[in-house]
Amino acid sequence: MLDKIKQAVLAGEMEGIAELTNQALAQGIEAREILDQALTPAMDIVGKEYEDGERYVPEMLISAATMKGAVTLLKPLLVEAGVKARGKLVIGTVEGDLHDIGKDLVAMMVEGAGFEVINIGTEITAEEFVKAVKEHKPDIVGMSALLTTTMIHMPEVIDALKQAGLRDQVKVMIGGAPVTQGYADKIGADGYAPDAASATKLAKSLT
Amino acid sequence: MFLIIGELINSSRSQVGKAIQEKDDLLIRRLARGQAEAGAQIIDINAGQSMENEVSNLKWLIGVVEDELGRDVRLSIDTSNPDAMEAGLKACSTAPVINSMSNEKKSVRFVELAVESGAEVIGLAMGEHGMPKTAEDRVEETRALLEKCDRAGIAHDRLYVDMICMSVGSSIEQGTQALQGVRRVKEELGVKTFAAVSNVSFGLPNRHLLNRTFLAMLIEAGLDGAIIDPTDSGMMNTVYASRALLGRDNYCMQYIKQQKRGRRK
Repeated sequence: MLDKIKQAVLAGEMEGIAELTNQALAQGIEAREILDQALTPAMDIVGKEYEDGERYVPEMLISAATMKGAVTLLKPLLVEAGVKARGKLVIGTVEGDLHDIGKDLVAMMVEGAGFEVINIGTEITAEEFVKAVKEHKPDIVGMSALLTTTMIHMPEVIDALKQAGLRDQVKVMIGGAPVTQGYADKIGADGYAPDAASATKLAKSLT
Repeated sequence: MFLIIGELINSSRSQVGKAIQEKDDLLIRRLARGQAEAGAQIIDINAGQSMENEVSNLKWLIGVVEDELGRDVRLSIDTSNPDAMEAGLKACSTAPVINSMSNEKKSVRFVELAVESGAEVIGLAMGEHGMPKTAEDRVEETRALLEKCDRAGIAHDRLYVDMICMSVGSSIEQGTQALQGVRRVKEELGVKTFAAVSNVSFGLPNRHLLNRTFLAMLIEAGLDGAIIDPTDSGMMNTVYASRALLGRDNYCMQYIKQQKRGRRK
C-alpha cells in the first residue's frame, strides 16, 4: 500500500491520491508512516531526478501537488498524534522584486520534504521579513531575487535580523538567478541553492 | 517590419560573463557579427551580472560591438540599474533602445532617461500590480504604462510593450494569456507589442520547438518584435515564414531573400 502511494506521487496521479490515502488509513496504517515511508521518499526521488535532468519542472510540480493531496488528509491526524513538521521555513522574494516562480517552486519542494512553509510573497522588505520571523518563529528564512539590482536587499534583511536580535535564532538561505555561493558567503547567509531540489537538501541540512 | 533583438550578449550566460571578466573581445565580436548577419536589427547588451562593475563592463561591451559592426546595427541597453542605463545610453553612437522600463514605482528615472535621450523603449507590462497573470492584467499594465508615457510626453510609437511571457512549465495557462494579451493590447490600445519568447519553455524539454512554435502563434496574434537568439535558424525561419503566411510580407520577398541567404551559406 505504501509503495502504491509512493508510486502515485512519483507518477503525479493527483486524482487517485485521496482514495489511496484513505484506503491506507482504513487499513490501519498510521499517518506518520504514510508520510515517512511513502510521501517523503517519493519527493526525495523527485528532487534527485530533477537535479539529474531526468525530470522536468511540470513533472516536479504535479508530484508536489499529488503529495499535497495526501498531506491535506493526513495533516489533522498528524497534529492529533503530535507529529511535528521537520522544520519551518519562511520564504519570500526581496524588496523591489516581483518574481515568484523560482521562490514558489522552492516553497513547494521544501514543503514536500515535510517542512511547514510560510510563503510571504514578493517585494518583501527587511522589516516585513523581521516581522514574519517574529510571528512564525521559523528555523530558516529563505530569500529569493531575480535581479542584480534587488539582490542587494538580501544583506539588509540579514542586518535587520541582527538588529532585532533574531539572527542567531534562524538560518538564512538564499537563491535566484544572479545569486552565487560566493555572494552568500560574502553577505553571511548560511546557505545558497541554485535550484528547488538543492534548496530542499539545503533546508534539511540547516535544520 | 518585425523587430528582432539579438539576446546573446548577456552576462548571465556563463561564456559571456567569463569573456567580460577576462576582457576577451573576440567572443563578443563573434557574437555581435553572428547576430547581425543572421538578421538582428538590434543587439542587446547586458552586463548586469557583476554589479560593482556594471557601468564599466557595459561601456566596454558597447565599445567592442560598435567597433565590430560600425554604424550598421543599433544597440539595446539591458539593465534594471538606472545609473548603468544612463551611462549605456550616452556611450552609444547610434540611436539606442532602452531595455526596459516597467510600471514599478522605481522606474521614475527610466522615464526621465527615456525623455532625455529620445530613445525607443521596451516597456514591461508589469509592475503596477505585480507580475501579470491574465490577459486582462497585461492590458491594464499596458494602459498604465501608456498613461505614464503620456504624462512624460513619450510618444506611443516609441514604445514596444513586452507582454511578459512566462513558462507554461510552471503555469499552463501562461501561453494563452500572453497570446490574448497581444491581441487585446493591439486591438484596444493600438501600441506595438514585444516578447522575450524563450521564457515560455523554461523547465521543459526541447525548448527550441516550444520557442519557435510559440513565436509563430505570437506573430499571428500581432506581435511586432521579439528578443531571441537570431543565430538559431529555426527561430528566424519561423519569423519569415509566419509573416509570409499571414500576408505581412508582400510577394513573400523577405521570406525568399532570407531563404536564398541561407542557401548561400
